[in-house]
Amino acid sequence: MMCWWKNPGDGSGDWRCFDVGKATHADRYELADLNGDGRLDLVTSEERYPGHVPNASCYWFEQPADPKSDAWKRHLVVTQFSMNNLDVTDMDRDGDADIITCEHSMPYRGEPAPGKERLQIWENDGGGTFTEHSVNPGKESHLGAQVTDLDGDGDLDIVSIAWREYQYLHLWRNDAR
Amino acid sequence: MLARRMSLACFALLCLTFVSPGAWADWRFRHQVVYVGLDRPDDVVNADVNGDGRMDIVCSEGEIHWFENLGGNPPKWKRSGPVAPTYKNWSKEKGYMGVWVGDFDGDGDIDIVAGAKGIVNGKDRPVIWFENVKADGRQWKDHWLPEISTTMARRISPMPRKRAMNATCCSVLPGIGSP
Repeated sequence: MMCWWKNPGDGSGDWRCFDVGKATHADRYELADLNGDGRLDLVTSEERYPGHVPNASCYWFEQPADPKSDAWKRHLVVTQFSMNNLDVTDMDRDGDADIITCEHSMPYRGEPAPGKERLQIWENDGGGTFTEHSVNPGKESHLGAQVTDLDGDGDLDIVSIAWREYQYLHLWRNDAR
Repeated sequence: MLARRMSLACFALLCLTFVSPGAWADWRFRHQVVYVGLDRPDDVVNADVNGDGRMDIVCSEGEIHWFENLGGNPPKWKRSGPVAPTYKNWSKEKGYMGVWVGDFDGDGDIDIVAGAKGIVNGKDRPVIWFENVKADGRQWKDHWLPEISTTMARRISPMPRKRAMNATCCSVLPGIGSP
């Protein structure tokens, strides 16, 4: 169960918890307005160990008018290999928030990792429906896939770290122009 | 004349289609290895650590290092640090897990907060923030946060009625954070 904590606003420790929704081993989370209604929604991605089965999901939870009493509606983005990588930002600069994920799996009991992980951008149509774009299949990430402009050209790049080939610090430079 | 105008309009539309920065068809990603030799990294964030206007990369691993963006196309990188001092009294698992950045002391530069693994100086998985002493990322001073035991320091945000930045941490238990 995921929840949000209401800040009492007076610096005290009396924060109240309100339910958002359920996910199984939710690992990463981000807040952004995904459907353009002016309210912050919650995006989360699930982790699996060892992650040999593509049964991890990325969801977004739609914030209701009253987030304290109304239910948050859960929307499925994708179910695939473990995704303990997540960022949410306007990747294509069309005014809405897109989702960036990367898959991950590990060797387990002598079995090698599947090794077919994908770094993906999920393009938002503005209403919370997403279209997949594969950036770089074949490289796994672990606690990475973070977005910022690293080469100063005005578009957003992706930086990431990995688990199996942990020695590498990866950068995917966006040459949109 | 009409045909000429129509062909010009079509050409303009074609140009607009191909120069639109938001069109996925225009996106091209080029892979670059910034560094080879990380020590089992556990988190990565971006910030302008030395205030030169270029975004750098901060990575938690066995130690915390930051990778200085030297500019260029493609950008060149220099590994700097470690940010944390070498703690001699460190038992169980060594290294750092969650790392985040923010201006914790309000002096206008980027500081770093991280959650340590294992037991450091008798404290179980302490959260430590590292002060960027001269704003250039070359000298760091560690400050230990009291009453927190965690492995992930994930978010920094200004809390109401307080000028300083605050760290929001979470344990490895499911959830999205705790005060």
